[in-house]
Amino acid sequence: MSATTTSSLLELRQVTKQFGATTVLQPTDLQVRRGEVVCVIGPSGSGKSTLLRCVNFIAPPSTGSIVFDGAEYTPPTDHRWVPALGLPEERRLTRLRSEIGMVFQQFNVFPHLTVRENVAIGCRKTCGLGRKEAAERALAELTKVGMAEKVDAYPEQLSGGQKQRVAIARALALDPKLMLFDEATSALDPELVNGILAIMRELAEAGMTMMVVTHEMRFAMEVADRVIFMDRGCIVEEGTPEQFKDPQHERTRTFLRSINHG
Amino acid sequence: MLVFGFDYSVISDNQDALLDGLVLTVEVAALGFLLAVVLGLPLALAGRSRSPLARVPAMLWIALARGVPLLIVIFWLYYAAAQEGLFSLTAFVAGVLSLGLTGSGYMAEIYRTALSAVPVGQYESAAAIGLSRITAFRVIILPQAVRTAIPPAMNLFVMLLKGATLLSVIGLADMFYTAKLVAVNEFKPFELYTAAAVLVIAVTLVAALGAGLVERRFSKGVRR
Repeated sequence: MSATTTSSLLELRQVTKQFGATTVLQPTDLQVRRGEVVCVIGPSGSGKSTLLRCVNFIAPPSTGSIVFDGAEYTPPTDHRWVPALGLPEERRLTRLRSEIGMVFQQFNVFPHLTVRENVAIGCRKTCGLGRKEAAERALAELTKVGMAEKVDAYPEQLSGGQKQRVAIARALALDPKLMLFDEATSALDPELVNGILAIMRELAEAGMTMMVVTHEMRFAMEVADRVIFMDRGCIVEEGTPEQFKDPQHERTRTFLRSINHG
Repeated sequence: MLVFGFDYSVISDNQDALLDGLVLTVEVAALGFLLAVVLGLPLALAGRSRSPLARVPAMLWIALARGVPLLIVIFWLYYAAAQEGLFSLTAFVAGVLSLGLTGSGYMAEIYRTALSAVPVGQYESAAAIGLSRITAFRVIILPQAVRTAIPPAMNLFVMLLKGATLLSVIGLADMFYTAKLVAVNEFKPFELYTAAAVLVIAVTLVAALGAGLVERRFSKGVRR
């Protein structure tokens, strides 16, 4: 267990993200408590995904810092001339990422590995489990998401929904303290969406801390402890699902109307 | 239609010498190709580096390796270096080196495009499960890139095999050298050079079969 006793697992302090001259994320503060489920909604290009990707430094923030489980992480120094100098910092971020699971819109399963290996690879390389233990761990996680029968299949033989189940198992196999879902159901056929949402719901009920970027308003309203509406790189409004039934800001209202009648 | 007879006997009389030469040709080409495969990967990685300290020398190397004609590289390594007292190489070593160095530039480009063909999402999800960049490269990225690299690498091998016939100019007693010798002695150039061509094509076909097998091995889980 970590030294911190605060209930906040994750804290973003004035985090920004620029791509060249474009600012994708304006200075953002955010705290996520242990066990909390935060749903992030907003139009495309509003910075939701970027916000999520800053948390595990898949897209390192440009400025600001992130406190996760009591440890602070700042934007990595750009060792342009001798990239090897960045290795110690990189190692620290690698450890951070091993404590944060992430599920992507496009699944990003590893096509050259079997379902079992997809899940086991992280256990072996990150948690240092042996081949046999990792395979057992993988099977256990795959069973939880209903993929036990497909352990020897390759991703190519799976449907989108099944791939996403594998991706979820792959993330959970590392026993993460926080799960990030980046539009996990957006690339799925409508009939497959509910299966994935059900897994996410169970996860939330089991007490997992989650940040969920989603367009599934019903899921957000039913599962989230807190909803965040983002637009143009800013958090415009945040509150409980109850409060989002009657949003304060006009932009939030317009957005919710547009997706409800879309 | 041929207006003269094709004399098979001159080929069968010299078939042992030709086949010995062929073994040497294939050896030189295979070793040169191996050198290119080994040198190409660090070159490609250096070429993709953000650091100019790695990128600029690598890109220079690649440009030179691809730009300088093989024949000049061969002459340079075999004659010019010895003349200047830099080093002196046997025809075999000079052959392997010139094929390998020339090939390394092409191989680096093959790796580079193969690496770019791996979707960004693969890098991201590898990082997201806590793999270091080196581990991610080794277990996630490279195996996928190798699959893409095999067909063009096969092309390179064929190119080097054909390039190996140039080595007869520095007196390497390879298949083409033998064919030329017999052709001159027996005054049967058409027969011998045809035989030489057929032999190279035969090796190319065998190599293509081999490449197919390797490709299948690396294509697990991918629809062809």
